[in-house]
Parts: sequence; structure tokens; C-alpha cells
Amino acid sequence: MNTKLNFLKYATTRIEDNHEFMAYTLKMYCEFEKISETELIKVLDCSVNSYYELALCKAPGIGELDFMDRLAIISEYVTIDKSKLIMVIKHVHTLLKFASQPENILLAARDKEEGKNGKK
Amino acid sequence: MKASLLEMELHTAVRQKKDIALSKLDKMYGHQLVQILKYKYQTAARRDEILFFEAVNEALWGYYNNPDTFNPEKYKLFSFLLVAADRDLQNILLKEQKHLNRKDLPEDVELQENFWNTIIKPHGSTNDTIQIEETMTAIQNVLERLFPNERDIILSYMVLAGERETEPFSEVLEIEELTILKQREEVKKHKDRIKKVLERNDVENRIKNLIL
Repeated sequence: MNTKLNFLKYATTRIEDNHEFMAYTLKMYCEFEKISETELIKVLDCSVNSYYELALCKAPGIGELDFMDRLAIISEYVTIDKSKLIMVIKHVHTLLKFASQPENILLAARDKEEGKNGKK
Repeated sequence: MKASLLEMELHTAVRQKKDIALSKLDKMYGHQLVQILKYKYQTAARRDEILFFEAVNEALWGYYNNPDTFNPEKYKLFSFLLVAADRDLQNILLKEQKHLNRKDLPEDVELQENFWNTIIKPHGSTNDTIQIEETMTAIQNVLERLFPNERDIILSYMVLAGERETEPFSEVLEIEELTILKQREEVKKHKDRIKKVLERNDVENRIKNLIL
């Protein structure tokens, strides 16, 4: 990795707990899906450079009226497909909402366990 | 020197907290500032690159959160950020020094390595810091008048610092994908070009005068 990439990576790690930024959304996606950064880069079908540039963007709120317009600007800037960005943001948004209610997690865990048993 | 049109656009985006503003800021200036500081503080650079990332990140983040501390009518954004990052790095190095409880900074050793590093000997007093900032801005102004873009300014810092390796130049020139032979040729071409401008304008002596 060169200085440019190393610096972008460093800057990303400094804001990954800040809900305002995509760094947080991407980190949460990796945590929820139990995948690595490298795997998420594959999901987004982008370069490592674009990934960190995306992480440093502010995350548009799903409920906001200008969500799609803002997303389009980010998508064009980082050259990552808009539909992939929507998928990641919506997924994290849903799971965070879900996770904010502890009883939902228990239910989901039970459903998952039952599903696994059912498969067997 | 006034901010360029591109810098003005970015400054407006930062003030309006546009979604891509911080990303653009980090992408445009982050590594360039790191490169310059690494050539100013070579001993620290050999020790720990993260110190430089921390300083530059603090400077960029500080500006992003308080963009009105920058006056685009008076300065170039690049120079403003460089001075801020340098100040942050000095604070980090001073903190490190206090932590290690050592009398002399490792930078004291490197002052012998290249003449213009003599301006960097932080003692922690406000007067020293102001003096260093003024000198740095003056050096930056000299280089900005001679070179049209930030990349050439970084190259000139590297040449002045006596960098001999091809790799650091290749990184700044973004030609790492070329063969080693081609990289060497390309680097030589750029180094010669920069050296000519520096020599023609007697930059070494002008900087020495600024320091002494």
C-alpha cells in the first residue's frame, strides 16, 4: 500500500465510530454480515481506493427527502454502483433499527437457530 | 498567496458540509502533506509513519470542523493546511518527548542532515512556534511561486532534503506500475527539471537566508 492509500485508511479508522460517516455504515455492514473489509470491497465491486474514499463521505439518511440525489453524487464521485450503495445503507439501517430493540435480537436468534435445525 | 479556484470550490464544499467534502479534502491533500512532513522530519519518519498520519488527519479534521479559520483571500489552502499539520506534528513530537522523558528530541540529530531542517527545533514556547510557522510559510511561498502544482512542490522538498531513492519519487509521481528502469528514467527527468528551477532561482540560499 502506498502513502495515499495508507493515509485514507488511517483517516477512515478515525471516523468509523462516527454515525455521520459512511465509514461507520461500512464497519457495521462488515460486523453484521461477519465479513472482512476485503470481502465488502468485492461486494461493492470497487477498488480499495474508492472504498476508502466512500468511507470518508457523509452517509445520507434514508428517511431524508434528498437521499437519492445525495447518493447519486456520492456514487458518481467514488464510481461505485448506486444500487450497491443503497443495498449496504438500507441493510445497515434495518439491522440497526432491529438491534435497537433487544427482544428482536432474541427472536431473530431463535428463528435462525430453528432454521438451521430445520435444514439439518 | 490567494487560494486557487479549485481550493475555493473545496472550501465552499467544506463550509456547506457537503457529503463528499471530507473525502475530497483527504484525497487531495492527505498524502501530499504527509510526504512533505516526512521530508522535514526524517528521523521521526523512519521511526513511525503513523505520527504523520495523526498530525495530518488532525489538521484536516480541524479545518473541516472549523473552516472559517482559513482565509482564502490571504492564503492558499495547501499552505494553510501544511502549517496546521506541521504545528500538530510538533505537538505530537513534544508529547512523545515528554512521555519518553528525554532531554533532546530525536529531531535534534536529524538537524544535521539537511540545512532547512534547522527551522524545526520545537522548544514549546509560543514565540518559537510563531517563528517556525512564519518561516515555513515563507519557504512554502518561495516554492509556490516557482512551481505550478503541489506535486512539484513535494518533489522540490524531496530534492532539497537530498532524497536519493527512486521509490519515494515514484510514489509521488504515481508511476509505481512502470518497470524499475522506466521509473528511474522518469524520476531522473523530473529531478533534473526541479533541480534546474531551484538552481536558477538560487532557492537553497534564499531558504538559508530565511532560516538564519
